[in-house]
Parts: sequence; C-alpha cells; structure tokens
Amino acid sequence: MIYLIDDKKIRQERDYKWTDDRFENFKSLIKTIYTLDELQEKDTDIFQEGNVILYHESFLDSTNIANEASDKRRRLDNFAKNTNSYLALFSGSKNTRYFDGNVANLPVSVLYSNLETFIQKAKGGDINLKFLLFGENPLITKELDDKIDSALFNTINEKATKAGNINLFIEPAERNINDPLTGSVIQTIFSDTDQEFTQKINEWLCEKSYDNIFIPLCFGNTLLDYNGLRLACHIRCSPSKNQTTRIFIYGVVGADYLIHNECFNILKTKNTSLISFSKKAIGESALKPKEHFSKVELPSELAKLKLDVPQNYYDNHAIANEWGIYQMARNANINIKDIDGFDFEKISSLYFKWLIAKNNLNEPISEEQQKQQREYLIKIEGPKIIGKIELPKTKG
Amino acid sequence: MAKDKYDFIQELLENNKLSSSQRERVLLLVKEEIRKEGLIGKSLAAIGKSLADRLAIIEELLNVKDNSEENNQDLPIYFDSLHLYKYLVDYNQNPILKSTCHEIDSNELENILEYCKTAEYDFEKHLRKILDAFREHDKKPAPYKVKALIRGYLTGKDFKEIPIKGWTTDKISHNWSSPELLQWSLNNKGVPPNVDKGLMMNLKKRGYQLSKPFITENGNGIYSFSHLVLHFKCLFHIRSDNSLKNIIRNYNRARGWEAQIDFEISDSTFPNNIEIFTNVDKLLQAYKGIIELVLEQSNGQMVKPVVRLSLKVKGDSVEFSIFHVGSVYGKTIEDTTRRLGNKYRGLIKNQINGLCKFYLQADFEAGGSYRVGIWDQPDLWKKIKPIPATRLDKPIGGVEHIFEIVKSNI
Repeated sequence: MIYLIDDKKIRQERDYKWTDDRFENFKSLIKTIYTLDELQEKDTDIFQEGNVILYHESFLDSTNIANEASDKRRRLDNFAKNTNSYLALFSGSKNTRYFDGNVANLPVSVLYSNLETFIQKAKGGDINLKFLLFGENPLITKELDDKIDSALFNTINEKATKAGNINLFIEPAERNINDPLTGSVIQTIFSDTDQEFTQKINEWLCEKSYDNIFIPLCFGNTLLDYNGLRLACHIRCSPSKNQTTRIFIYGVVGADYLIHNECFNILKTKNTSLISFSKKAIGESALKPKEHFSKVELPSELAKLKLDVPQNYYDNHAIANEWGIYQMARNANINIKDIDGFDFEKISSLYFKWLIAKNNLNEPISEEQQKQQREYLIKIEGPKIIGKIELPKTKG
Repeated sequence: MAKDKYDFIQELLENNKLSSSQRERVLLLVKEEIRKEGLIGKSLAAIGKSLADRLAIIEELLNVKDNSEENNQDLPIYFDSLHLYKYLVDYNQNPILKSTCHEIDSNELENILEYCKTAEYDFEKHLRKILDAFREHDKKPAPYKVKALIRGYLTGKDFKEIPIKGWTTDKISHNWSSPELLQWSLNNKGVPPNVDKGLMMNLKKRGYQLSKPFITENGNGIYSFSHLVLHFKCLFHIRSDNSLKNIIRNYNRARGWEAQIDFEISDSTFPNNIEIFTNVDKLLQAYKGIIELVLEQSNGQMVKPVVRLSLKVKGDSVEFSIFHVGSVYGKTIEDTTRRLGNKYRGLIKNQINGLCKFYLQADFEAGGSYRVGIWDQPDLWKKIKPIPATRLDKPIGGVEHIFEIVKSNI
C-alpha cells in the first residue's frame, strides 16, 4: 500500500490536479493522510514492511509536535532502510531529485507529476522509486535532466548575441537560457497541449513577422516527449504570418535521440533545424543568412510528416467522418463553426491541422468554384460538393 | 523596529571611538541593568537568561577583551549553540518567515492572503509582513553572524541599516528587499517571486528570474528567485538532499584537497540522513581550519595524510569528527590544557563560539591519549586553569577534532 502523507490539500488539488475523485480511481493502491490525528490513528497500518510512504517534509511543522519533526523524519528514514519499505520525502524547499536505496528526496512538483506512473507500476508489482523521481523512463529521463542542468550551467558565463526583435525566442517555464539574443522578443510556453500551442500561435505569430523562431526541444510535463518538435509542426500547420519562418529547435540531444518521436520528420523539412542548447549556437543561428521557403512548398514539405491518428478518437472511421464533414463544409464554402455537433477542439489538434495544411485547405476555395456553386444552388437545394474529398485510410 | 535600551547599548559598544576601558565600563552598567530587571517581579531566571544571552551576543560581536588572563584576552564569552539551533528551526517553522525558505504553492498563498488581508498576492504587503516577523524573530538570541546572514538575505542591509554589498561568502546582492525585485513585482502583480511550479502552471506566470544568473561558491547555478530561496535554505538546513557528506566532498574538491589528502568517508560512518540546523558557511570555515592544521602537520612528509570523516548522532547532538589517522599531537597535555594556541583561538572567535562545542581527542607525542574539551562550556580558559582533560584507556591512533552540533531541542 502507498501512503501519501501531505497536509497541503489545496496544493494537491489546485496545483497538481490530484482531487479526491482522482485518488478514488486508485483507492486500492494509495491512501491519503492529511492530519496528525489521521497519521496517529493509522500508524500501525502505515508502518508495515513493504509499504511505500510519501511524506511531506514539513508535515509536522504546524502541529504540536513540531519540535520532533526532524527526529521523526530520521526515524522514518531508518524504518524504510531497516524494514524493506520505501520512503519518499518531498518538499517545496527541494529542487533536486535524490535517491539512496529505498529512500528518495524530491521536489513536490516531481512527486505529483509522476505519481500516477508510480501507482500504475506498483499496480503491476513493480515498486521502484525511480518511477516517482523520473517517470515512465527513468534512465533516459535522468540522463536528459542531467544534460539540461549541465548545459544550462554552461550558459551562465556565455555572452549574448545582439540580434534584434526579428527573432522570437520561446523559452520553457523552467530552466530557460537567460538572455541569449539581446533585443529578441521573448515568450514563455507553460503547457504542452495542442490547444495551448494553437492559442499561442494565434497570440504570438499572427501579427508580427519574424526572421527566426527559437523553440526549446524539451518542455512540458515529460522531457522525453520532445515537445519542441510538436510545437514546430504546429507552427508549420497553422496559418499565420510565420508559417514558413525559419525555426531553430534548441536542445541537449542530437537527432539520434529523437528518431522515434512522432514529429521527428519536421527536422527533414525546409527551414527547420536542431541546434545545441547554448547561447553560442543560438547566436550563430540567428545571424545565418535566410533561405527562401514559400507557402507553395508547404504541402509537399508537410507530406514528409507521418503523424499518428490521435488516441482520443474512437477509431479511424471517426476521424474519417470528422474529416469528411470538414471538407464538405469547406467545399461548400460554409464556415465549419456553423456546423452543429462538430467538435471544434479537433481543429486545434495537430493531426487535423496537418491534414488541412498538407492538403492546402487553409486557402479559401477558388472564385470559379464559388461561381459554379452559386449556379448549382439555383438548381438544387442544399450544398453541392465539387472537388476532391480526401479521406484518410481506415484501419482494416 | 522600536529600539530598546539593549539595542542602544549594542550601538554604543560598536562605536569605534570607545576605548577598551570605556567599553568595559558600559558592560558593567549593562550587567547592573540586567540585575535590576531581574528584580522587578518578572521571572528572574527567564529574563536573566535572555538578557545575559543578549549581553553575550554584544560581547561576541565586539570580541570584548577579558584582561583576566593575558593569554586569552580576546576570547569571546561562551555562547551556547542551542540558541543557534532554536533560532534556525523557529525561522524555518515561522508561519510567515517559512515563505522565505520554501517555494510558495497554493496552500502557502492562501496563508499569505490571510495574514496580508488581501484578495490577491501583493508582494509589498508580503514583504512588510516578512520584515515585521523577522524583527520579532530576531529578538531571539543567536550568533551575530547568522543574524547578519538572514538580515542581509531579507533586507540587503546590516544591523545598522547600512546597505551591504552582498550576503554569505558569495556576496549575493539579490535579496528580498532589492529594488529590482520590487520593480518586477509591480509588473507582475499577483505572482509570488518564489512561486512553486504547480502554482506557476496555474497562474501561467513565472516567478522572478535573475537578470544575471550566477554560480555560488559551492558550484550551484542560481537562475531565479526560487533557486535563491532554496539556496538560502541549504545554508542552514543539512538533510539527505543537502547532506554534510556531499557538501564536504564538494568543498574538498573545490579546494584541491583531494589531491593532497586521502579522505576516508564511508556511508556507514557518515550517513546522509542526519539533519542539522546550523550555519553551514561557518561550519565549513571551521572544518577548513582543521584541514589546514592537517596540511601544516603533514608538510614535508612523503606520505599523503589520511583523514577519516564521520558523522554520528549522540543524544540530542551530532558529532562531526575529523580524524587525522596515524598522527600524534605535537604539544604536551599540560601545554594543551594551559595555553590555547592561535589557531584554536581564531577558530573559536571566528567560527566555533555559538556554532558548536569543540573537542580534541588525540595521542600525544609526549605520551598518553586524552580527550580535551577545547570549547564546550562557559568560562573555559579564564577561571579554570588548566582546563579539564580526560585520559583515555588506550591510544586512538591519531588526532581527532570533533565538532558537537545541537541537532534537536533539549
């Protein structure tokens, strides 16, 4: 059994989205303790060999036994070491992940971010605190994490390049390079969802044209998702003033680490490069001469991408239907927003945007087609579809 | 902060124009004052102790001379290291001050909104509460150096309200009262400067990022105010993820000592899980003093000295031992217990007094093995002469210096 001993329920719910309902899904595996009374009441159950104790370091600090807090933590540590149990101490005053046998120390954000993975692994009988520290793929994530720390450290004494506001420098919410391009426009990306990417592209890229866009390779909940590749795909697939602007993705690993990523092929398209996580590489890239890349070339470039159907679709028939509706509406010159029952969030998904962009459907239908439709409208009721409707192949 | 008469006395004593005899006269008056306060009906013991502690701080601050023994003129009044422990633990657990040594999450934000009586986070109000809470907290006795450290971190000033260049040996200029931080807060209303990651994601706003990240003496990169806050916490709270073992290893490495000394540090005798609330900076400086002694002792020898480091809990204290294996103590036990050498004197004055108790345990060149409390009780080297020493049953195989640090409430 996993025992989560944390007095900060508001933080749990608001900041990390671990609500009572979410815990309820795992009630056979994890129990939550919020008060000293609860802890004392259940201590016999908690301190059993083989249990996992996730303990907020300051749990006792606001109780009447605050002066025993330090000693209790050491006893917990000894209990874990001497009884083949597991202990994870987490706190808002920790910023490193530290692992020593069956005792781990970690920041609170890391704990809640990886808790579900840890529970799922424990459900399958694989209790390993490394999953709590580093998520689904501990080895590679730790390697990546260390590489980012080291690369960031090396930037401290690097000099910035004067580059001007024709550069958009997108930085992650954490572990960002400080001022690599003096004068550039800096924006921070907080989330890694398709909806967030769509929103940010609308905010940042539709009014001002840039010469270069710099994107972090790793950001969001899971470093290994290499979300920078996905954001670059979004930029290429979203109509904006910067749809073909040169993109540099700065990261700590080479292409060999990324080859299995769904969005890897964006690196095979024109005007998109992977560069090192350093001020020097960013500065040099910003000063490189521009290469011509027109919108006419986009569909053929985007055809190089091989994106998977999103998992939230029921099956391939479902997306084929949605896609069919979208194309019919477009060909009929009907705004998709006027179609009742259509899931508009789908249009924010990278997959849908890619289908639209590679089929060059962001452009309005031709005047000639519109004229023909007007002529047909006189003869028949309802929309008449002229043109090609491409349905993605369905499974089986 | 309203000045009381003891603040006034402290300021008076710090006046460089005061001669030694004038300072002594002021001190005598202070003692008289303490005696009077003890007679006005309050708890004599409690008040007397508190004021005596304050007197000790003043004397420590000034290194007031004691002319009773020519040899030990400049030794400070013994200051109990329990004060340091309590001062730091109370700081860490203080309902307001804890927000200066942890990141601020939604729970903490709720607390701040409640005591600031605002609907949205307001940095200026929060800072005012912090400074008020610190003034109150700072009335507790503690060594001057740790008070200066925290004051510098919160206010960017010394106790005379004069701006300082920086706090800690790193001379960090960023602090809670920096004009840059205030300016940032005006442009980022509602965002705590040391926001926790979860709350940051909720707000979709980052905390204060330093315009010029820097590297601390112990080799950590500080990029944001959150990093600074967590770095500050590491300066007084030793624990598994900020273990003394790792701190010492980094310290040895940074000074190139690993090439000059064979350090024996084993997991079994130097566990990571011992927590200590102390002034880490001063502890490292004291450690440095002992290692310098080892290097002096080994100078010119063909073989690298071996130093065995260990850490163990002993009752309510922790013993940090620096054991120079195979060495012998060059002085006689009579000399050791009668005259305090310059090195020990400097350590006591500048680092050890108020930080920890200090013991020597050694095989002596002239014969015999002894344990000597070099700095473990009041009035040593003054009234008692020679200081006590305990003869050990058998040789210990070297020279051991022990720092005894209070680790929990007694």
